[in-house]
Amino acid sequence: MDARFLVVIGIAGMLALSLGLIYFVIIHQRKVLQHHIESLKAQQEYEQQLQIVSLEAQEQTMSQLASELHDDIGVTLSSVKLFLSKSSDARPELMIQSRLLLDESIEKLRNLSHSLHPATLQHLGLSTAIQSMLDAINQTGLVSTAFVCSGETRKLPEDIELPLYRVVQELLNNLIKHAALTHIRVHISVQDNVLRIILNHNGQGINNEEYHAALFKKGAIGLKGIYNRIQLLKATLNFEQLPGQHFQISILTPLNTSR
Amino acid sequence: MLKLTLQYISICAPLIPLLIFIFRRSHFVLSKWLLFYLLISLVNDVLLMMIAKGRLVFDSYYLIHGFMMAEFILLSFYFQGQKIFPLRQRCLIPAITGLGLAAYWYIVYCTAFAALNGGGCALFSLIIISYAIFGFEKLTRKAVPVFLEQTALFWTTSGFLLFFSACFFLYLLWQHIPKSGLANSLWFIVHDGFNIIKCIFIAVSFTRKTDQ
Repeated sequence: MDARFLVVIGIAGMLALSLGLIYFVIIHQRKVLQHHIESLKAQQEYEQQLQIVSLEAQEQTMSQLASELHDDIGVTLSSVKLFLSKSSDARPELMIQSRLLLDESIEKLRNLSHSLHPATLQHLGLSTAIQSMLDAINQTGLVSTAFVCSGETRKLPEDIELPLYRVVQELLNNLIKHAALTHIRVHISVQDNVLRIILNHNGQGINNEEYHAALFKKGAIGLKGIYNRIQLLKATLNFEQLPGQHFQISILTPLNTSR
Repeated sequence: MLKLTLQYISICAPLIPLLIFIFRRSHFVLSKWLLFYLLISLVNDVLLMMIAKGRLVFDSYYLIHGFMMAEFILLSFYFQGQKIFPLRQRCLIPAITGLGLAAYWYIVYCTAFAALNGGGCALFSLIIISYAIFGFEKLTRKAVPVFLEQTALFWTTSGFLLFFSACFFLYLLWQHIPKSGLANSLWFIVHDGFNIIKCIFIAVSFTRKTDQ
């Protein structure tokens, strides 16, 4: 056979094999990557489901506990108060002291029961529940609060309202504990099917980097709860410093996303 | 005309990856072998052209033998650095390199110094092709799958695989190819064309984030 023909056939054959090999490697790797991405997605979905179940169980326990506290121990304490008021044997100053202590216990119990399962949220919606939370803070006299609600304020599904309420509750709790603030303003609005909750305060705030750094610290249960709920809602949480030593925390929740 | 144009482009082709390496300050750990390879390739081609034009009087075959062996050693070092074989088989590349060089030298000794050692060059090509195949195998056996186009090894391996696959039969049947005419031109066109492709692929590999 002619050497030139052999060379041409040989080169063509070798190149076809090489290109075939490269093509095979690319296709194979693409399939492996696709499989890897699919398994990662499945794992992520599973973790999200686990989170939902865990948060639902947590809410259910809190609701049961609140009901028990309110209906059982609360009624018991009220009965004791009634018995004390009817009793005439004891010394009057002790009676007064006991009644005061009982009143305080009943009030604390009511507050605890309310924070575990907020009836306001269940019946009147997120805006009213947050407003009532701010009123309670205002009543302490240490922090002044302001609440603004603009746009459509319809009642949202419970799977959106309850996690959002918990997030705002935890954020307010953290601000009062750590931010050394004197004023908080909360603004709720719905624009383009996005629920915006903006918290402005004049204390010592944090930025996004500090939030993420704190999130991965050991024991940051409250922040992890916030993070999980935000993920669950497919919402975004943003911490930023505004000019003039003011800080802003914004929570943007899409309302038409399937969860 | 095409042959001559390709020849000049092929001589200058190593400058593309070299310039990219300098401007991008690519990783030097494994790329250094490719860098040396490109440098000697450039120097070899320039010297061969000067000899062919009569501006330098030197036996070109000594230069070619030297370049072929240096190319084989440097590429072996590169693939050794890329750890294409599992840990227990890491001594394979030095052993194959030693045997390959001995075989090349034996063929030169038995045939002639003043001729292209087609058999030896084909042997080197075959060994580099097998390294390239093991390189691909390494890329696909990673525990966490990678995007091939983002790895330097994919581009260098593809470049060497294409170049040495194209040149394998050219080297093997070198003695039977006419020394002038269309068939001779085809030899140069294929060799130079795939050399340019190889240099472009190496240049792409220098733009990757790591040299692995």
